[in-house]
Amino acid sequence: MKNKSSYERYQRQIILKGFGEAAQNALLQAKVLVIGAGGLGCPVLQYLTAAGIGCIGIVDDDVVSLSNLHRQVLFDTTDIGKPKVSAAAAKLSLMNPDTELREYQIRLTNSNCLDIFNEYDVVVDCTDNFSSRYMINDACVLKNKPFVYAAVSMFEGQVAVFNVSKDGKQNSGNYRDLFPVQPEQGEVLNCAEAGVLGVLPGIIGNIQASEVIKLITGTGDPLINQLFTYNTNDNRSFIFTYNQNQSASKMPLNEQEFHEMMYDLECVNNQQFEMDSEHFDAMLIQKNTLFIDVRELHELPAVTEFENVKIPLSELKQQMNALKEEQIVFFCQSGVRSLKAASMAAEHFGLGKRIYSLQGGIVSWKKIHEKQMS
Amino acid sequence: MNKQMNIMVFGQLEDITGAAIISIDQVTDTEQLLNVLFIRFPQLKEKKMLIAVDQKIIYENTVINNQSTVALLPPFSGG
Repeated sequence: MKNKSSYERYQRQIILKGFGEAAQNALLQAKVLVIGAGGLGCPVLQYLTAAGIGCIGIVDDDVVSLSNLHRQVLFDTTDIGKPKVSAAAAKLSLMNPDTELREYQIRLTNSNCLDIFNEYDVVVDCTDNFSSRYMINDACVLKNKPFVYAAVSMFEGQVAVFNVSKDGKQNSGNYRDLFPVQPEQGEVLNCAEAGVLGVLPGIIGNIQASEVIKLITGTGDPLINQLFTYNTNDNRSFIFTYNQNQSASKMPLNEQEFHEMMYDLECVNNQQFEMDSEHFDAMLIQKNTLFIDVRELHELPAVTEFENVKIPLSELKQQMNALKEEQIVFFCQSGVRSLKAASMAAEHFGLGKRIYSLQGGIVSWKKIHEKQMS
Repeated sequence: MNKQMNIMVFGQLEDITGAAIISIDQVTDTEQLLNVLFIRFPQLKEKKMLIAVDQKIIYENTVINNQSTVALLPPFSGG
């Protein structure tokens, strides 16, 4: 222990039989990445910081909103509108100034996540969607990182510890051993749609934090090759066991394949939004229709052929409520980001608007029109 | 009357079955179980779910005896 005050801070757990200074030192040296600072992330961050984890990375691209506060107890009313990562780090640094906090106010994607995972010993999945969950799973398997999973729905939660190295041999099971294929969009309702009891992610997140501590300190029996479930209604909990090696089929085999995975789109029914250039042109003369360029502001070619507004994909979520038109047509360079934008808008507006994405993007649209001109 | 058995239903699958515990006529294996469930609750066919027999998640047709506890587990998305 580096000094007396740090011994005093952790004294109550150091004196635990089977824990001691060795376990505390393991926590003080550990680097943990917490993805998602929401319902699960809040208790995980609070208890891991309090427990003396040496370095915690916090990943979240969202801002605090009023509807978060019934369960995301790290935040208060004055935090509304602030980025979650900075609001969380401000509170956590007061709780334990010895923990190094790294803020990542970004959305985790398959182009940034492998580099970030390299920096950490354990990854904690506190996300609220399947595309992130499958991406985190695959990245952890590729990078050989153990990860602690939890998810909640209404009154129930699940916790599991995945991809733990066993004596340098094959790692333990992962999320794809349970559910090999991503559910389609809308197949499983999220908390915003189905609701969640405020206290539930508190309970489940604390179990998740406890699993992280057990994993780092080598104490207890973490939920390896096991799926824990808990229901607040009847207080019943179960531990299910499962077999490994169900996961192989859909798993990217190397980093190259990982980069090419379309996690965001895997669970989207693409045809629902995509429109070819001919239909796109027909839309140009329709009333009450807004064309949105979701590329970054500096991206070329510029689009002057028709009226459009520029809302980069990263800012779309914040500006969604300002979109008043009945029909919205998204476009981007190649049609990938606009499809993502369309699925975000569809999730936001439900059946309230007709939403489209230009297939092949503006580059291909311009090519077709150049041909027609010549 | 045929002998009945109980099935535990987790998460949003309950919206389809209408209850967290449902009672069906005793079946002898999980293949038969799915046939019975899909007839009674056709929407279950579209759902991704795990079947557990005696708290062990199974991947192949598995024998169910009259003492077995059977559970249906969906993936959860929330966090």
